[in-house]
Amino acid sequence: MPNFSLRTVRISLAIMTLSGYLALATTSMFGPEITLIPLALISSMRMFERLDEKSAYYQRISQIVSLAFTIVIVPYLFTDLILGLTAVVIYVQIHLFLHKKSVKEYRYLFLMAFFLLVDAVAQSPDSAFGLVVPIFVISAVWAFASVQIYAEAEANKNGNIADLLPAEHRRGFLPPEVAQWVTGQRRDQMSVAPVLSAVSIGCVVATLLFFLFTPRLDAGIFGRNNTITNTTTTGLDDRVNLAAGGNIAADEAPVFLARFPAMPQGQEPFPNQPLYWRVTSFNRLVGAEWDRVADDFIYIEWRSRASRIERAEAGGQTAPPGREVVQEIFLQDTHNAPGIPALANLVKLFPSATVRLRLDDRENQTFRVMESTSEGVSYRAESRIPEVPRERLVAASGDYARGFDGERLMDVFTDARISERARALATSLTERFDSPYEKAEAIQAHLRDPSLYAYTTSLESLSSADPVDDFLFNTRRGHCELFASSMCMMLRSVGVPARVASGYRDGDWSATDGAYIVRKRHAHLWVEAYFNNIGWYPFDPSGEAEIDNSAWAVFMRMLGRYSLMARYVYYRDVIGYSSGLQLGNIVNFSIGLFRFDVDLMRSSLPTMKFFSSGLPAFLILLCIAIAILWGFLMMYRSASLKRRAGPGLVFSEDQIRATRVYGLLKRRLLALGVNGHTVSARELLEEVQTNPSIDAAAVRHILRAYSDARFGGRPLKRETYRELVSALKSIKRDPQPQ
Amino acid sequence: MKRRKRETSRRITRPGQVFIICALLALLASWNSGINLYYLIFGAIASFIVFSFILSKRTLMKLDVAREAPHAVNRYENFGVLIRIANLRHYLTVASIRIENADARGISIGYILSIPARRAAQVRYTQMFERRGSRKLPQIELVTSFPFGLIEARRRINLETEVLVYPRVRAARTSLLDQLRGAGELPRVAQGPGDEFFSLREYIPGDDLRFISWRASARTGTLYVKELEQQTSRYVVIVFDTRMQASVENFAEQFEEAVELAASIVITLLNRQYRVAIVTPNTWLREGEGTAQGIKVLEFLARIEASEPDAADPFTRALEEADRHNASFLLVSPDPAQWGELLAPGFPRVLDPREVVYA
Repeated sequence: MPNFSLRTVRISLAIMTLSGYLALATTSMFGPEITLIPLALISSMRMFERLDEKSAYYQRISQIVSLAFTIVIVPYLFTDLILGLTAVVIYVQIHLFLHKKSVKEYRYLFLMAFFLLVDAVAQSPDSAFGLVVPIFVISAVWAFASVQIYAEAEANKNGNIADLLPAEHRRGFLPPEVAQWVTGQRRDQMSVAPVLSAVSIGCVVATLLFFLFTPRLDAGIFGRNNTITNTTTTGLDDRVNLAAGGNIAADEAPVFLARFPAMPQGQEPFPNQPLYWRVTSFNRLVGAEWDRVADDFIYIEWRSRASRIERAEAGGQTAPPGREVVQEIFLQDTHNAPGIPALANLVKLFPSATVRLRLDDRENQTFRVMESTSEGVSYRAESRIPEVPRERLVAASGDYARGFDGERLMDVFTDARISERARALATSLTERFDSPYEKAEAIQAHLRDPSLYAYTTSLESLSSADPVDDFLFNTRRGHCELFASSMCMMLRSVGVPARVASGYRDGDWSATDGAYIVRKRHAHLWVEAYFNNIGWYPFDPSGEAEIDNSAWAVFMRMLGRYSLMARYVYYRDVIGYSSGLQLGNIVNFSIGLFRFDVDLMRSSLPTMKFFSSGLPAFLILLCIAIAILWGFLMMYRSASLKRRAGPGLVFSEDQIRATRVYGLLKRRLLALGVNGHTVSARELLEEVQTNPSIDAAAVRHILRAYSDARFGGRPLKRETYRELVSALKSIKRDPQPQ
Repeated sequence: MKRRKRETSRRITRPGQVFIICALLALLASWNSGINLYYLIFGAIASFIVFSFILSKRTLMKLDVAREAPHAVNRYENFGVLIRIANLRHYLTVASIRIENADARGISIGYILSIPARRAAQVRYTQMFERRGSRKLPQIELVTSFPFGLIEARRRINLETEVLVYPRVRAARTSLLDQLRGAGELPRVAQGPGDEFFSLREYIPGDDLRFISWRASARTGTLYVKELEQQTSRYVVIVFDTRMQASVENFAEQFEEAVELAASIVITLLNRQYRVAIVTPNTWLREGEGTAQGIKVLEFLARIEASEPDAADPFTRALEEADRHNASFLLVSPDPAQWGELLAPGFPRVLDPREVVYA
């Protein structure tokens, strides 16, 4: 009976677990790939349960893995609570699935599946979640009911189980020896199926009714107020809202890693110079929100050519003078990123073979990831860092009618939606300057004055109608968004085209890794002003944000760095693996059979080198994997040799060796024509003695050793075992000479 | 069988408590956040609890319960008790019902996986009594936590079932039995002149091996003994002194031992085709033989109680009632001081239980 209940438990557990993961798959953080976890668990569950029963090594390994996981996950919970709890739930599920289970463990698994459902709710799943809930409820009904029946049956399996009397026997008792089972206990259990089906439907309906009629509480139990309670973290977004208040917590999570291969290794390339990693820019402020306006009009042309995107000079425009800087960037997570970062004035972009980029917005120079085989992307960027003498900057004219292509774009970049007093302030700051550059400098200096404006990441909400005015004249404190927006608007009001650039400022130089590690807390907004014959030039009116140097922040930075480096190595050496056989070496084979463009092939396919440094590493990894598999196989074989005759009876090492040598003996004798598999050892010896081609004395010696060790408690050491195995080879006698 | 008075109760199991806590937390989360999906979660949990609450009790309703047990059993003897549960519903199946003793909750005496509509299930369990006399079987309870194991319902079934518990009987052997008149001899029934008609019966441990019929035993594969002429001297009176003795330590225990000894002796003798009578200070159980007498004796001994200390001397009564020339007497007493003693001239010594060898 329990077998059928157990099967029902397992099936309903599988569906319930799968529905929990399906719920997670409807969230933005996880995709449908997460359903591979329950599928793998369900398919391998039986195998690992047997391994758990037979192998003590497996249990020890499992304990070590659990300990390691605990050590790793506890600090991570402080970084990302929801993801950390999800990982804990998934690990507990995996652990329970891959070990033998009692009723208690089945109930825990149901609870874990339920936690996954709750986890999905906490992460705002999409509409598919509504389909998952009834599946979950129905599978939960069957799961709980069948495990309850299974538990009762298990508890009573040594006791008295009722006989179902024949249908025609309506009264009285039957002698127990006469009472008949209804054939197949399954029929008993199948008779429960209609009840459970009805209960399943009832539960789904009841769930809906509770959902509809449970009283709501709009105010919240703990009340709501207008104080600064919402907390966001540093990072970039597709839009910028200036009026939103709140606390901006510094997020130490790394965003990308940047190396400068052309610069001397080991030295920080830009020790005294702030770096601005540009992602995108915003050119229109409506109310309190910045967004981007783009046009089809091409004023700087970008061309995509095979594996690179490069900026072309057009219309007499020249790029600002400066030095070319090559960066290799590994962007950890492109999910929801508004664009990819690179130093300003991007000239060329070389994505890796597994990434495809596109120029999303020419006017604001925003590049997005179009396709990628992984969340992390790697690319090489060439930028020109402007190194323009001040005299030239000052000499740039303020006549933009000729410098800007098209009046419409001019309108966009000079659209100054600020109050009159802000405009008056800008005028008062810049009226004595003719040069647009000096005007920008003046406004920047005004905003940078710490006695006038304070940089802070914690502030209350501003006026949504004119947050710039509110910042300039009322609060006088704010973060980079307000500083940049104010300067941009004031510049525009005095006729200088300007836009707000979004990206990251600076980064943490890691001498060990030889790279800048840029984190979310480095997210920044600054201003770009356009100067004729120079182009867009950066200004930064914001002050410096304070860096949290507490022990916890330092620890989180270190943790983030290791995580980033690990992903970088994985992406470079696994996802971006490009070593191996050089196709170009065998290209001659193809000529005559196929005609193709070798040059095109060479440029579009990754190059591979024969016997490159990657191959030995690959071989080593392969050997390690084989060794691990072999180890598991040996463990399983060793465990399968231990026959459990009853509770507490386990073979000793000597008995295992004795059993092994007996098995080898039987195999050897079978090869000599004596079948020892269906007879006892004594009968085997009698049969051997009648066979002149077999040395009966040797066989007797082996059998005695086997019997003494297997049944007599005598030791059978390894040396003795080896001697017996070698003696097996000599049990065949040579035929007697005639 | 008498029908029962219903008594149903419910309690929340440990998983049920977890469910309720989860439901409350989900409700709290939904009220605090205003997120509708949390109301959905709460609804799912609450539906489980509600269905558990309703179905657990309803599973135990409309069930007809009956019990059957033997009329009489021996002390310390395991005997089977049958319980029959019929599902009186027309359509619905009931499932997962456990049967427990009302006095020993948590210990299951039977389990029913499911009973389809209009069907019945029967379960057998064993019971044992440690004390003789008229005993009632303990009440039973039907217990279920179907469907989800969240709420456990109990229904007490009051069934009045009485069982008479005989004293324990063991085949006994003692030197005094061998000294009885006719000991070693078996009755023979003769019919007609010149015909040697003899009857056979199966061998009972203690029979004289000289009377085994080897030919019949070889033919049938079972040992048989020949029955010889019935001796009228095969008449034994068991004199049982049931008077309470204050000087006897643990008198109640000694009394039970004496009852057991008396029962064992009587049954052994009856199996050897003796005629047996029992005399106590208050009672004279006439002689008889065979199984019927054995049942009478056991029923008598099942209910026997100690007599008052000033009750009549059973030995005197035995002498008055029995034919002294034909009857043999065996004396049984719960007083260890009397064991092996000669209480009265002409009587054998009091049986010493320490000399009794039980088979």
